[in-house]
Amino acid sequence: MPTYSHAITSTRRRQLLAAAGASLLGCAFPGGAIASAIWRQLDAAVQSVGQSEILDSGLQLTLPLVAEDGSSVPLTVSSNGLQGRRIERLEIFAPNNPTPEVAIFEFGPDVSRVELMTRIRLSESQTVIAVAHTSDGKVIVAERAVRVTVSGCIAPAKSDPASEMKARVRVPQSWTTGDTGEVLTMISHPMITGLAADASGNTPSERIIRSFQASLEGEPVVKAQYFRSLSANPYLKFQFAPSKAGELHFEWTEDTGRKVEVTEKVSLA
Amino acid sequence: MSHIELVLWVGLAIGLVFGAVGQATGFCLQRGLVQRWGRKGGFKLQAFALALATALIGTQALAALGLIDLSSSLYMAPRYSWLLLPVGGLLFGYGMGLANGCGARALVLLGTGNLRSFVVLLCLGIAAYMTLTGVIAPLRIALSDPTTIEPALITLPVGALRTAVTLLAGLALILYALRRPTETPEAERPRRWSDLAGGLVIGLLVVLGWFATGWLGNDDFEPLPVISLTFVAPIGDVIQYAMLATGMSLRFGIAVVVGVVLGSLALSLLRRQYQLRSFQAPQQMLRYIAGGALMGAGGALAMGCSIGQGLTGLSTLSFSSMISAIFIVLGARLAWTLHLRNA
Repeated sequence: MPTYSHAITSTRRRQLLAAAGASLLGCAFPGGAIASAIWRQLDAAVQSVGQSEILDSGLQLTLPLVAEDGSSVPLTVSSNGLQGRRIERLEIFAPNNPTPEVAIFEFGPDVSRVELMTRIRLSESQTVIAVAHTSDGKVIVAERAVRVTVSGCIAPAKSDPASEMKARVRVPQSWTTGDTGEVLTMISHPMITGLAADASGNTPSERIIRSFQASLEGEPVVKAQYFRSLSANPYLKFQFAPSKAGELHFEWTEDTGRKVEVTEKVSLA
Repeated sequence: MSHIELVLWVGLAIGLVFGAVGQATGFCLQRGLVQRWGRKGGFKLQAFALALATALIGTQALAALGLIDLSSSLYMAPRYSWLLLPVGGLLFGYGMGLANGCGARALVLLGTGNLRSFVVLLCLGIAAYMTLTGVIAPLRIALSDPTTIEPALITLPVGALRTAVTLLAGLALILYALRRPTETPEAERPRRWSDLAGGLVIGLLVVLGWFATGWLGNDDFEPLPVISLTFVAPIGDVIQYAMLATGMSLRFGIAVVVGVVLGSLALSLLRRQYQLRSFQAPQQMLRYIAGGALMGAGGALAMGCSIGQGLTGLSTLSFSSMISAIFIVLGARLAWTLHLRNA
């Protein structure tokens, strides 16, 4: 018996040392391959990556290091140096949220370079993960640690049913052929998680904007699937280079089936 | 230039002017109160009253014209703790007495080479963050949750009464500000108009701050928080930004704080009044450290300082700001009675 318990202690000690070593390395190379790979602990991310070849770089995920308001944390994803590859699909995960999935984006051929921004909910400090699938079947994973602190002030939760489902978009006045332009979209919606009690102590059931789509003359530019980890008043800023002039059509769908549509003109100069 | 950058530049400009005015006139609620309570004479409290009148009337005018929406500001929060606002106000006021001036005054003095203020500011900023999000935050939340109330009225309803109160309070403050000096010694009297002019400008800066964040910063997609001059959390923000700039964006308050120090520094150099000053004794240093820490923690609990609640908060006519502001003055009175009266 003494030998047995000794064996356990020594394995334990080795594990502890290994963990300490890993965290030291992590400090030495922040953001490096050794420090990260949190995604390997998240089933949804592992499944998304599958057996695909993983590229080292090309995807930049940006979030604030410290977020005082976990209900609305700005998130930016940008791709660069992909050498002709295009990102077709992008998945965002917040592993420690009640629902780790945050959003899934699919991009049409007019999005040659991903540059998007949205706002997400983080229930606690964690490492946010972005998994991008390229047009040639490769995968890029980006991670970013965010510390979420308690909110310094009691923010008034403003929810006005009258302005719900009010959508607005901003597109460039004119586009230059081949150049990218920036599109801002937002819809007023409380994105009820179904997890939190309201002021009267009741917990309303989940009701969120489930999907968003922007298409140019019927061809999808950005298709998004949203989950309850996306912030209230879903906001999406993205860039694309229209291959043709015509009607840019935006559509949001609530999980009840309610839809809102907005159409803008794209004219090429 | 994006609306965010524009608001930051305006914030920096507001800070520069605040710093210069503070350096030139010595604008300070604490000094005003001490002058009044000690019957020493002087115009600091009257300058503060004029700043408040200007801020109140100007801010209410902006809101009445529909240019800014105060309802999303911190001061219009529908719920607050009936315990923490008074306690925070008392702590802040008491700390202000110990440190001989509020956070904004310490920023101005730092610009003139006063290293005592540097210590006060470090303690203030760190204590504020300890209370807001750090080790004291769980205690703050534990005290706040059972004492949080949701009053039916958080401010006067829009209408004739609100307009009347704004105008009457503004008028009363202006009359007080312009009252003829009686106790003031002859030597102090030339300062009257410059002190009052300083108060007027600082009141206008509060209005400009509301305009910057509430109108210039009111983007459909990325609206900025509607705020104006306040100094507790922003001093903590500056310290945090210094350490985490790669993972944090600039905010209006940070630009203002930096501007105040630079504005005061520039004017004190121009007027050849820049001079390094430090503590004379360890006991004095201890007192300033305590004062800074109490101002930081108290200001975080009271959701603002003598400027943040005393001018900016009151300019919204928020009832919670009135509670905080009254207790800030009571705290300052306590410090005066205990420590300053016989000094």
